[in-house]
Amino acid sequence: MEKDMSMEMMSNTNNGGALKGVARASELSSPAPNGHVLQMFGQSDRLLLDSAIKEANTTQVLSMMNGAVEQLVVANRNAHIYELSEGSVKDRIRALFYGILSRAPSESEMQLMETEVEERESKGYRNIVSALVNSREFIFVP
Amino acid sequence: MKSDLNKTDELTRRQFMANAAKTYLGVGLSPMLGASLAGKAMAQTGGKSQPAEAVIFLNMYGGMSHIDTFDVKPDNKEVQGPVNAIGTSADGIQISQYLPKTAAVMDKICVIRSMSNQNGDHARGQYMLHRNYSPRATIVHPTVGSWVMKVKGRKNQDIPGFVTVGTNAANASPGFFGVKYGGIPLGRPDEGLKDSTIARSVSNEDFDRRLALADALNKDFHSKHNNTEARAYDELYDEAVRLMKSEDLKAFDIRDEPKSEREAYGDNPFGQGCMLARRLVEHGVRFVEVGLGGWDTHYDNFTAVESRCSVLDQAYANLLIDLEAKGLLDTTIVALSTEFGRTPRIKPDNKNGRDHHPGAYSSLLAGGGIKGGMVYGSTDADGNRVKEDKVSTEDFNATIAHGLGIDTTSVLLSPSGRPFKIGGKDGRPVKSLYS
Repeated sequence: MEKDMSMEMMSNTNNGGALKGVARASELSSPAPNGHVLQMFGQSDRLLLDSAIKEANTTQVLSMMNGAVEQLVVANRNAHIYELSEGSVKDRIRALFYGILSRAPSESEMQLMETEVEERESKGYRNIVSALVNSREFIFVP
Repeated sequence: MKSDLNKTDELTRRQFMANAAKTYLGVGLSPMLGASLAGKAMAQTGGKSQPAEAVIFLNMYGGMSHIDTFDVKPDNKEVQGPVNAIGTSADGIQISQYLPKTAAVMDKICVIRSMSNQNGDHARGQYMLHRNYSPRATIVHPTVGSWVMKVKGRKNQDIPGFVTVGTNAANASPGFFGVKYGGIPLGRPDEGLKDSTIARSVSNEDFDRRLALADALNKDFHSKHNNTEARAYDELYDEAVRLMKSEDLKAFDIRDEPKSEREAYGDNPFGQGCMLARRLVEHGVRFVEVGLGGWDTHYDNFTAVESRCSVLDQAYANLLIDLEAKGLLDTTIVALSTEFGRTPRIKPDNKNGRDHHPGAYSSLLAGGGIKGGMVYGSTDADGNRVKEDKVSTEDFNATIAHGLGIDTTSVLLSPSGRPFKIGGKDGRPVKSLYS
């Protein structure tokens, strides 16, 4: 996957690691350029009042699975979610659940995730983060 | 007697399905209705040998001036300003000097000069243009593109049926039909379908494992919280994964096109967007919208219109020629419209600007069985009011739907049980535009 060109365009600040080429929010132009991840997730084009969109579409889902979220969170060793996750396997899984879903994993969920880690080791944790972030519960606001 | 029993069976099953769909998915009647809608409309298209398969909708947003483009008034200099009228390849039809390439293919185009609506501002105008209803606080109406998805479905099952390019993402909205019928909004035509391949940091096996994990989590979640909107995301994710595996993804990549093609369309987002639209239609996409803005010429009307027209002219004319060359023009309706026109009165204080004018404006239809080289309707000598054959925005959209073989009078219920039609409240197709 090519590096996200629109993000690179945004800033030359040399933050290290996965955040390289990513601008601070205050440095972004408004509205964001065509195709930028903010625009993809509903930012208004500021040509008309109230034209932010709140509906889901396939472009967003593709981005969640394969795009910015993957690059900046799931695959990023320095992501904050991984810093929180330390200790035993159970502890680490619990931390991921708390960090993403704000709750502890159920018995069956814990078993499922433990199996994942057993079979895929460090990649397993990434798979868990990706699955949690792409779960229906994550987007659900009661 | 046996056939009576069978009939009762059918009704019961259909009712059951409709109810299940309503509670489970929050949508109205199931696609079974769609099939019968299309079937009924086939008879209605009458003389047309077969309905069109696809629509390319060119959205001139901002309010395209009609007098400076397709409804020239050469005998009325006060209203026309400095623009000259030129002849076209169609007898007796003149258009603006700003559109020479379009003039050369006028024999393929039907100009509707009698468009008229009552939307004075962009938001209402664009909403009506896309959804055939006025905005209401209580419901979000589906766009015409998603109506087409709902009623006609996809042509090619492995590629999205509805795509928008370079236009507000709200124009891909499915409204109350639910996310399954929404379009894919592309911000720009030159990046392909972003993120449509697995990230390099993920192996195929891990990708599948993630889906399996998420599935397990979701099953639990759905059994605890029966939320239709959250459930609709299941379909969206399934759709996205299917898309990733599709062979037809390359349709989105305009880099495959030879340089000569790209130059013919014009090296700008709209031109390349039109080229992408042709590509998508080639691969079986049903409804593609391409947007071109900058038409809101309150200030310095003529300079702005001339520059917009040079972009439009090259891309639009080439699109028609290209579709015809590839044998697609007969099955593709190319529609061009805008939310309203612009005032006949030129304002010298605003460096010769024109303001909004919904009372009379122009739109174009071509391809898909539309008679070319003709004008429908007319305005008065000032281009101020419609003189003959008024066509509302709803009528315009109904005409497009009719060309696709859709019955514009059939009613679909929203999840809240309110009736809606693709033709809008009282839109009627202008059937005489089709041969």
